[in-house]
Amino acid sequence: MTIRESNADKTGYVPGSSQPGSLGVTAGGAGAAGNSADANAGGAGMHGAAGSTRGAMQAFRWLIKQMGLSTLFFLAIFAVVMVVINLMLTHVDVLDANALLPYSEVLPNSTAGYMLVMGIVMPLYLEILLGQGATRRQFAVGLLGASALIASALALVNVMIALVLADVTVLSVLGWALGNWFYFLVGWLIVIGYQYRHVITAILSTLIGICLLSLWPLGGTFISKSLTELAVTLFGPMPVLLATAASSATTLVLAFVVVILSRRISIKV
Amino acid sequence: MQPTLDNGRPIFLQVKEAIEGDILTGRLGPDDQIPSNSQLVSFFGVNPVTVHKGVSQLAEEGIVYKKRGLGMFVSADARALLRRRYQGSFEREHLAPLVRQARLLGIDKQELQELLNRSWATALDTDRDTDRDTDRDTDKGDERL
Amino acid sequence: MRAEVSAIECSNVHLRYGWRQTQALAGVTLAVPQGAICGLFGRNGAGKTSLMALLAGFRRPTQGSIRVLGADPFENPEISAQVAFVYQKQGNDDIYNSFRAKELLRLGATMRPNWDVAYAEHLLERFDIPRKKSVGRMSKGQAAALRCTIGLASRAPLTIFDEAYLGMDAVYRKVFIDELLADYLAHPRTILFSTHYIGEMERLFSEAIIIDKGQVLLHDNADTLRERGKTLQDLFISLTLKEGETYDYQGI
Repeated sequence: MTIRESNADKTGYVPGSSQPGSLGVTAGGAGAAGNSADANAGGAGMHGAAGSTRGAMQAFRWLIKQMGLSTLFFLAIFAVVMVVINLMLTHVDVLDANALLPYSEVLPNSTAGYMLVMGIVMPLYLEILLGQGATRRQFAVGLLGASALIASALALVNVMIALVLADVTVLSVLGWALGNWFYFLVGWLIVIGYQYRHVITAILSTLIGICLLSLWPLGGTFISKSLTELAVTLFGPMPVLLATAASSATTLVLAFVVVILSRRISIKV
Repeated sequence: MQPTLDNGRPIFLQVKEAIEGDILTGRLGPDDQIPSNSQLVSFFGVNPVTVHKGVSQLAEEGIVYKKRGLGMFVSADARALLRRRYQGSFEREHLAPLVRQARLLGIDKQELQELLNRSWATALDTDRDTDRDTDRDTDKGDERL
Repeated sequence: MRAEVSAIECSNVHLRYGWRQTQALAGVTLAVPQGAICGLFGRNGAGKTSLMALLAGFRRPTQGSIRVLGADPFENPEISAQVAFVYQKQGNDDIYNSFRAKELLRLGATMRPNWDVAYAEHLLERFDIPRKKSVGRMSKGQAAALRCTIGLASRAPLTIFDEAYLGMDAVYRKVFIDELLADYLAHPRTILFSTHYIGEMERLFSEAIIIDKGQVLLHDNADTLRERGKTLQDLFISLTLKEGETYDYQGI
């Protein structure tokens, strides 16, 4: 029996900083203060309410990165597709390509559609962040921020294209940004129904989602132009400002609802 | 690579016995430092609490002592203590089974004594060859037979 | 948080889910002190994963209370940051599988206050994990090793491994045990470890919990349990066999 001849440290790793006796649980909150490892961590220590915000910030930054990449892809693919179709049409000399495919409508609609899809996919990243110590609320708040940012960015892209081809007002920019965000939130709402792991909640959220999509009342730049006209017929010509206010309110309520609902999601492992 | 531990017996006992074994063979001499808890954990691949328990018992029994800030060291009389303790159970634990086994195999007392002499001589030769005789106290036991 | 606080405290915890109201946990009460390496044994479906998911704040108990490091872990930012749950998702996990090793490590570094970058790199090397490969394209063993790496490098005060090394070969399992013990010595924490390889891992544990059909059958100090004369594995098998089955293996 040769204990003396054993190699003491089999693993070959020399721990950077030994914490004699401490169990990593320090007074006042998480994190081992003063640990050399802190230098490597993005955010060292979480304390109280500040911890919640910091967590949301970290979630936000990470989600932006995930969404940003795919958004760039989307725009690139969209541009290529549009150029190709346009070339084909002008070459064939069928019609004025711009009349057939009015950019002022195609791009905003595609962007909204993209945001809808993102709204369905992104909430599924919850589990990964939960596994790394975030809470559902931090995730939801972070995703709200990230999606709002992307929604605005895409609205700006719309603006740039529209400036070339049509006219643009501040309100239409707001409308695009809000609309993008709204579509994201609807997608998110639908997915939450599935995340609740109940057939009923899934069906419910899907139906509600579809209804919401068709009710978007901001004049004309969205898919259901006919329903906008219907609303005008029913309620009289809405002052654009009022319509914008109504849509903003709806969107904010939806954002609020989505965060609240996220809180009760059980993760099945 | 790692010593086989019998998971059916308390592991802290086996760790303790392993150290005692080293003391008896002389690999750990009086006032030598025994491996640290970390080293023992790494060597045996067992929980530190287990190691701690085994070493604590050794300390309680006077086999090792603690030098503050440095570690655990073998007591001067550790070997003698262990010998005395295990001599006490030697007959019950080793001789009785030996005799039983011999009788089972039909070896009579005379044959057994001859076998004993032979084994003893072989053991002496092995010790001499590997030069491991680290008897620090005057022990004429080897010569007695 | 005071040092006397238990790492885990469960009081009459029940968990039911699904429209069929499957009973996953039926009255679990236990307490695990900080700094213990606690083994959790149970047959498939006994409730191990459910219990661990509750501790990690992945779901809420139907009944009863859970305290992790003194507080309710559900939707609790302070506690969540201090609990690391290492598990393998049942079925498809396409989203997780799309990430590359280095991306997941970077995420851990961002989110975990105690994360050690150098240590994570060291573990990557020891387990031969390809940094640039996505999890979905790794072998089962590499993916498991990556999860274990993230779990260890997080240095969370409560680290929960749920059969985390399923798929790892014998050598990597040994490497994992060595690394776990070494890091545990340097940076003590509470570890809850469920495993089917009881025989291989039993010497790791200071205490052991046996769970069966959603309830705790046994919870005691590991060496005390061994004084009954059986290995923990044999003890576990003899306690959880169905009525009528026998286990009569006798060594020589």
